Amino acid sequence: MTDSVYEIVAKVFAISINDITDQSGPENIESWDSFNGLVLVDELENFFKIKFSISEITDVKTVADIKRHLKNHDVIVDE
Amino acid sequence: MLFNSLDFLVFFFVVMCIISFFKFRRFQHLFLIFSSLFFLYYTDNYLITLLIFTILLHFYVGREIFKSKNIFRKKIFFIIGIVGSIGILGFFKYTDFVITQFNFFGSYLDLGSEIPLLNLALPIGISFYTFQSMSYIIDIYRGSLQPSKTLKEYAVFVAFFPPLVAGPILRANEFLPQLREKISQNEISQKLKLFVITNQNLKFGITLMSIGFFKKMFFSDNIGPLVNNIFSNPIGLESFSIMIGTIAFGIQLYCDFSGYSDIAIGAAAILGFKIPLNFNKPFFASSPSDFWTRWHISLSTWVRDYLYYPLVFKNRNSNSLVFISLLISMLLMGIWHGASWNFLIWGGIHGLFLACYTILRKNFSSNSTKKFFKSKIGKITSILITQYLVFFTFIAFWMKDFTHMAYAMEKYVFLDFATEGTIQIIRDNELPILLIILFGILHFYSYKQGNIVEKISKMKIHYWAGILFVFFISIAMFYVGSAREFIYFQF
Repeated sequence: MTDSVYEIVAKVFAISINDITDQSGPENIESWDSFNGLVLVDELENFFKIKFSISEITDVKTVADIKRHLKNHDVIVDE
Repeated sequence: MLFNSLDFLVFFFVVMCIISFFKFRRFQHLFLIFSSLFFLYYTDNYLITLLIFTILLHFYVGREIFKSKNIFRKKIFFIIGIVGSIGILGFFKYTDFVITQFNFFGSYLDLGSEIPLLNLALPIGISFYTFQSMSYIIDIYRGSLQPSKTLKEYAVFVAFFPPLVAGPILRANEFLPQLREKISQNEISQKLKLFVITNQNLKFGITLMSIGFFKKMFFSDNIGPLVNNIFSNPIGLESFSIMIGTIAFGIQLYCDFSGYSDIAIGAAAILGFKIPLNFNKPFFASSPSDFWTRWHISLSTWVRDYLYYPLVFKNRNSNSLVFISLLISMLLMGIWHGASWNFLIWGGIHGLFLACYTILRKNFSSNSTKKFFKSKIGKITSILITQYLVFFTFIAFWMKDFTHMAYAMEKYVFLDFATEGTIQIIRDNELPILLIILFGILHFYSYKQGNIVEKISKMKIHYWAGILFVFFISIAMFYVGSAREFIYFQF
């Protein structure tokens, strides 16, 4: 599932999947702004058929945080 | 106590020495609280009581919200906390503004006697520490934060002196774990952290503080007179003169505020705290939304997380809701800066830019436009357009007089192509103009280089000392003669 998360992040922020790590976030992905942040939430929710809460969204600072919250929704994500 | 004064340097040196000599955890934590309270008392006298009240209120409210099993009780404490914060901030910051508006409409409608103004002193840093305290209780209410275990810990978070009077606005979930010893990357022990001033932190902190002093005392203070010359009475000036004024003010404001942030983050880093960046090369932003990921980041993310996201979260596909939410968010951002119409106009214009950009991007973004804006020419075009719009808004940020503001905005948009007066202004202000050009070169260099602070602080000691020497020699050579207050102190 990590690959799926990376693919979604790469698609939303229009960057290469090779540039993404668990530490990627708004600080090192230039196109990660509030608009794309919400697009990412939409894409993740649609793909994994889940609903994030607002505190989960505001807590996301890196891709690792996304994976942590997906786990809370019982989505199996590789370490 | 201004950062750019001898008082602060002496104060900070004493704090550093005491922290490094007395290696007792409890003492160090208590000392941080008292030195922070002293810092504010020295700056703002008896208004320190407001900070103490805010600390006590939010610590208690936060604990009660967390403890309450009953949702109604949770809500009541949450409302008490929010009303308490907004009440204090609103009373001290906006009462006279509201009274003035009442009196204006009263005289317009011929209602008779005027309500007298309260003429309250604005407590320094109040906008920063109330927003910090609000985020603390909102996070606890949302369930994403556990409250501070002790009042002492919470007091360090709110009163910590480097960012106390002009930010960055701290977040509890980033700051509180730094008060405890780390067990591993993800685990924090219950043991209080022992503050040790390491060589690495000292070098990094001194570098960042020096850059902050350089921005403030070399650039901002020397460019300021040019801004005053042009903006204090712009009527009759040519378009290019107005443009020079807006560019000068944008750079002055950036160097002033990001300079303050750098000194605050650097001072915190020396003491062992990591505070996130507040500015990230904003003059290379390539869209209105990109600008707000680079300018006053701690406030823009605060507004995003606690106002914009809650407003649009459930209906984020509705264009009108997104538009209105962005407008409201930016109006709040504007009024946060001060009780004045010009800040509301500034926020409103930014809101319009952001809302129009977001709606256009949402509905008319095709692969070919995306491809164009990823190309070099597309990137340069988008940076130039964004900066043209951003600098336009600085007119509203500076000018409180509507006639001046309208004149300057008209000249900025509808160019008259006259040059005679502009050439004279350039001749009369050679130093500020040269500093603007130098700033442009350095800003571009730091944009291309990435994390320049990290790079300087990792240099060999003699190169590092050489660069710092250049900073301080430049400051000394062009020192304006007195410590000028930071613009963001008034907010």
